[in-house]
Amino acid sequence: MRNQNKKSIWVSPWGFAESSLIVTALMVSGFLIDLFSKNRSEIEFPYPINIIILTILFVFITAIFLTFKKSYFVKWLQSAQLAIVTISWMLLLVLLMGIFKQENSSEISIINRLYLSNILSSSAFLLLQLILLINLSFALLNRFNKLNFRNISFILNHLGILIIVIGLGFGSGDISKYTLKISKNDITWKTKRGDTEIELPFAFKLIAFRLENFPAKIGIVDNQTDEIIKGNDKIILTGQDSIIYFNGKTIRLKKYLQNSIQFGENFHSVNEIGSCSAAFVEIEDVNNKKQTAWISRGSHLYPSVLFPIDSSYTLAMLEPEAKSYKSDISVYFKSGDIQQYTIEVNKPVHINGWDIYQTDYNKELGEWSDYSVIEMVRDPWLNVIYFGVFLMMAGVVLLIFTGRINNNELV
Amino acid sequence: MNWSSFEIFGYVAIFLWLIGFIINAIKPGNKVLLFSGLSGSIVIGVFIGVLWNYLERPPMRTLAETRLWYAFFLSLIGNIIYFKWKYSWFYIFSQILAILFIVINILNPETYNKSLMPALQSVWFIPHVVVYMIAYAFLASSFIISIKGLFNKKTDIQSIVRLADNVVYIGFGFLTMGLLFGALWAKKAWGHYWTWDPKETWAFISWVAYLIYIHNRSLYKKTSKNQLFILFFAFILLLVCWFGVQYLPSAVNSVHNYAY
Repeated sequence: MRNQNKKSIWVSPWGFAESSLIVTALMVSGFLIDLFSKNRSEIEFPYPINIIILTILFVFITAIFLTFKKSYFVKWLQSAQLAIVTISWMLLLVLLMGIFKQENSSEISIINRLYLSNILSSSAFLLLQLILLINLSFALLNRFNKLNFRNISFILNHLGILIIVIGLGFGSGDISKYTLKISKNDITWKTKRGDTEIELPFAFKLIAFRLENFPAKIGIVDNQTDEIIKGNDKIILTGQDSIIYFNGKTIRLKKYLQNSIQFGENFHSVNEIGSCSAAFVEIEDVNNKKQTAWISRGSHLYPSVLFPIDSSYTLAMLEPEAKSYKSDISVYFKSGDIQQYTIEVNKPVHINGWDIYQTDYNKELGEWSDYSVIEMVRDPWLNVIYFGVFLMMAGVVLLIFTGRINNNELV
Repeated sequence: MNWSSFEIFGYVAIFLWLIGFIINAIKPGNKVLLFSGLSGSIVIGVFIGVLWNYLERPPMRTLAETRLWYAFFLSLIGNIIYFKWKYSWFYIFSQILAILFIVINILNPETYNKSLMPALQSVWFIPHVVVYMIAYAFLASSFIISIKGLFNKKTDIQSIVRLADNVVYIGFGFLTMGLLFGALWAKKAWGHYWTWDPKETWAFISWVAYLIYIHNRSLYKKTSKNQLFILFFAFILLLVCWFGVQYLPSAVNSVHNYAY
C-alpha cells in the first residue's frame, strides 16, 4: 500500500483517492436526495424493526468478511483510508451543524431543503453513519481474526465506538420522553403528543416544591444603558462581601433579609407568599456624609426598591439565583400502590425502567411556584450505550499509556 | 482572599517563570530553572486552592477560572517536557502561553460570583473539568510543537512529529475521558447523554479533528508536514469550542451558558 501514490486510480488495492471519491459521491447524492425529495418524513426505526435490520446487517457483514476476507474490496472496507475520509466528512457535517442554528423549521428555504438546519436527519448524515458502521465492523472483524495483545486498545476503542454508533442510530426510535407539569391540586396521569393523548405508565402528584436561593447580589446600574456594571469584584455586594467602593463612595451592606416584606419605612422578615429579599445599605461619600436606604428585588406581588447613588448610577438588587430546587412527589402505580419520592436536579429517580427528572418550575413565583415541571425518560438502549462508553474508557486509558510506545515502533 | 488578591499571585508566578527564561538563556538544563518554573506553577496552584476555599465551590465555572487551571497544567507540562526531553524552546513557548493566560486574568478581573447553579452541583463537575483542562494543556503543547515544525525551516520534521505524538496521545486520551464523563453527567442532569448542544457539538468537532491526526499517523508511518497542519487546525477548532462557541449563531440556547 505504500506505493499507492504511484498507482493509477481505481486499480486495486483501493486507497485514499478511491475512498474520497466514493464517500464524497455518497454525500453529494445524500444532499441531492434531500434537495429534490418533498416532505420526507423523519426516518426512525422503533423496536422490532431496528433489531431486524441490525441482525440482517451483521449477518451480511460477517458473511461477506468470512467469504471474501482476502479480496481487495473487503480490505478496502476495513481500511484506515476509508476511516480517515469518513471521519473527515463527519467533521465537515458536524462543523455545519456547529455553525448553522439547528431547529425544526417548516419554512421552505434552501438551507432547510438541504437539511443544513437539521443535519442529524439529513440523508448524508445517515449514510455517513452507515459507512462508519460498515468500516468499523470490517476493521474489528479483521482484528478479531488475528487477535493479539497489541490489538486490545484498538479493539476496546473501536468496539466501544461501534456500540455507541449502533446505540445512537438504532436506539433513538425506542426512546420515550414526556415533559409534565405537575401540581398539588391534580393527579397527572396522561400527556399529549401532538393531538393524541397518551396514558402514562404511572400517575404523579406534587406534594411540595422546595427552592433555596443564593443570597441576592447588589449591583450598580448605569442609568443610561440600564445595565449592571461588570468587570471586577469590587462593584458587587453579596451576603459575605459587605463593602464596595464606587466613584469615591463607600457602600456598606448592613443587613440582609432573604424573605421579607416592607412595613412603612422598613423591611421585616416574614415567610409567606410574595415575600422578597431586601438589604439595608449605608452609602458614605468623600466628605464622610452617610446615607442609609433599603433596597429590594421585589417579587410578583411587590415592586422592587432601588436607590439612586447619584444622577448617573443606581443601586439595585439583582435577580436571586437558585441554589437548589426539588420536588416531593407521589407516584400512583397501576397496582394501586402509592410511593413518595424526592427529585432534584442531578438526582433523578429510577422507577420501573423510567428516569424521572426535575426540570423546571414557575420562575415568576420562584420558591412559591405552584407547579413543578418534571421529565420522564425511558431509554431501553441506555445500557448498550453505557457498555460502549466503558469499553472506550478502558481503551483510552490503554491508549494514554501505550499510544506512544506503539507509535515509536511504527517509525 | 479572593480575585482581588490575584494580581500579587499572578505577578509572582510570571516573575518566577521569567527567571526560568534567563537561566535557560545562560545555562540551559540548570536545575534552578526547574525549581523556579515549578514554583511558578505552585504559586498558581496555591491561588486555585485559596479561591476554592473562599468561593466554597470548585473554581471551575467561569472562563477566568478555567484559565487558571490551564496556566497551572500548561506550565507544569512545560517543565516536565523540558526536563524529560531537554527542549528549551518548548519551555519558553509553554510558559509564554501560561503567562498570557495569567495576564488576561489580571487585565480582565472576574465578576465575583460564588453561586453554583443546581445543574453544576454534581460529583461529575470536578473530574469533567479537570480532565478537560489537562487535555487542553497537552493539546496546546502539541500546537506549540506544530508551530515550531511548520514555521522553523531548520527543524527535523521526523523528531518534531514524534515529539508531538508524545503529547497528542495523552491529550487525546484525556479529551476522550472528558467527553465521556460529560456524557455520563448529562444523562443525570438533563435526561440524555448527548443532546448536540452547541458546546457538545464543538467538543465533538475538536475530538474528531484529533482523531483524524491519530488515524493519519497510524496509516502514514512516514512523518510529514501535513500531519503538523492537522494539529495546528485541530487546536484552532478546540479554541472555538472553549472560547468561541458563545459568539456563534448556533449557540443561542446552549445549556453551557453559565460557563461564559
